[in-house]
Order: sequence, then structure tokens, then C-alpha cells
Amino acid sequence: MAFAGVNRWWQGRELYDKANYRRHCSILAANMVEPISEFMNRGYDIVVIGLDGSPSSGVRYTGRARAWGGRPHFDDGDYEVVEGMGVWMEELKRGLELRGVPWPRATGMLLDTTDWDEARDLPRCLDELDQFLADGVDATAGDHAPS
Amino acid sequence: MLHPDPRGYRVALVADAIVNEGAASFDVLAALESHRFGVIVLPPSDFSLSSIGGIVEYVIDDLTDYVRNGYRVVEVGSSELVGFGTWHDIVALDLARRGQEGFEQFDVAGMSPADFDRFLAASIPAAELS
Repeated sequence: MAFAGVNRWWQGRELYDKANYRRHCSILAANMVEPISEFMNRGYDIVVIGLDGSPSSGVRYTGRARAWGGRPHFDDGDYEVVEGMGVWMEELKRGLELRGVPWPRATGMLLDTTDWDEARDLPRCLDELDQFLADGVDATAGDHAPS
Repeated sequence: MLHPDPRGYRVALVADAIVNEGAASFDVLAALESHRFGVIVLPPSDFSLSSIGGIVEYVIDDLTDYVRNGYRVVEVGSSELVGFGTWHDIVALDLARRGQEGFEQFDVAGMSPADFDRFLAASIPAAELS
């Protein structure tokens, strides 16, 4: 959003995985260190909640689209949700750890899928989030494979 | 997102103390949700942060982009909080630097849920009308 604006084109992880975008993310991450550290110093429990399936903000799952680029055109199946972190989340983790801030408990809400159905999927996402927050345990990718 | 666009075209910059510390006498988040507002929260305004200028700058990048694209952006804070709870002075300086007007403001201090509902319903975003 901060990089390409509210009307940005859909992108896969490959289009975000560039030095200039990672540099942008590293600046955002550096800005996050101080407030996160202050919360930790005050005894808060810090968690990261990302957008799973996103090429940038995925925590457990990210999105690949190897065929995307140039003139916008896409076919069903071009966008693949796979295990792994999005580019922004990688840089956030790297930026925090570089400055001595441990990576918090983290999960993502699996909202960015190709067959998203709000009535079917949102309740499951919210239940998973409730469980993550209540348990204090990192959600593992193996337990939440995308459909 | 790959599913049909569910956006409400409404965004609220809300004081952390309202979201997390009960600084309002009514449920601000529930009201925002019922009126289809998304929420952005800066760090608590009583934190001492050398990086706050950079944090605000990136948030204002987003909020001004929303405004340019017909979203309604509002600022919800309290006159009983440091900096309105939203780092208002720094937000205002950053907007002024860009030649942008300030956002519509709602001060929760002394206000009722009905007052807030009226404020949130006061206008329809241009993006929703197009």
C-alpha cells in the first residue's frame, strides 16, 4: 500500500522481490523497532498478524505468480498460494532481529486465496486467530493448508 | 486481494488509547465497523519515540492516497489525551508540508454513541458514488 498505492495492480511474490521494494520495507521495519521495543519494555505481549496468501504480508503462506509481468493479463491458476513468508514480512523479521528485537509470535489470516468465500472461510480464519491468541502458540503451516 | 472488492472506502485514524485503553465512554471500534470504516492506529501518543516522524510520514502517505482516490478519511481522538491521542500536531505538520487539509475530526470526550453515529454517517465517500 505505502509503496504502490491503493489502486496497485495485483502482484505475485516475484514482482515484489526486488531490491527497491525490500529497501522500502527495511525502512518501515526500522521505524517499527522503537514502538515494539517500548511495548515489550512495558510488559506487553506482542504478536504479528499478517495476511496469509499475500505476496508481501503473508506469514505462513505467500502467493506466487511466475507468469505475471508486463501487460496485465492473468488466467485461473496463475496465482499459487504456497508455504512461506511474504517479502514485507521477511524484511520486518530481518529488521527487528538485526536490531536485537526478537521476532514475536506470528500468524496470518488466510484471506488471500483464489477461492475465497467469505461466508465459508472468514469464520474459520477468525476461529484460528482466536485459538492463536488464546494459546500463545505459533500457528504452524502444516495445520492450516490452503484449500 | 483476489476476491470481489469488499472495501468500504472509509478509513479512520484512531487514537491508540481509544482502541486499547478504553479512553472513550462507548465502543468506538464497533461503531466504526458498523459504518464500514477500516482503522489505522499510530503508536500510543505518550510514548517517547524518536522515529515517530518517519512512522507518521508513511501513514500519511497512505491516508492522502486514500483521499486522492475518493475515500473518506477521519481522525478520531480525544482532547483528554496527549496530542489528541493521534500525534495530531505531527500529523497536521506532515499534511501541511504536502499542502493537504486536515482530516475531519471527532473528539470522543463528552460525546455520545449517537453523536459518533451521526458523524460517521455524515457523508458518502466519492469512491462509493462513482
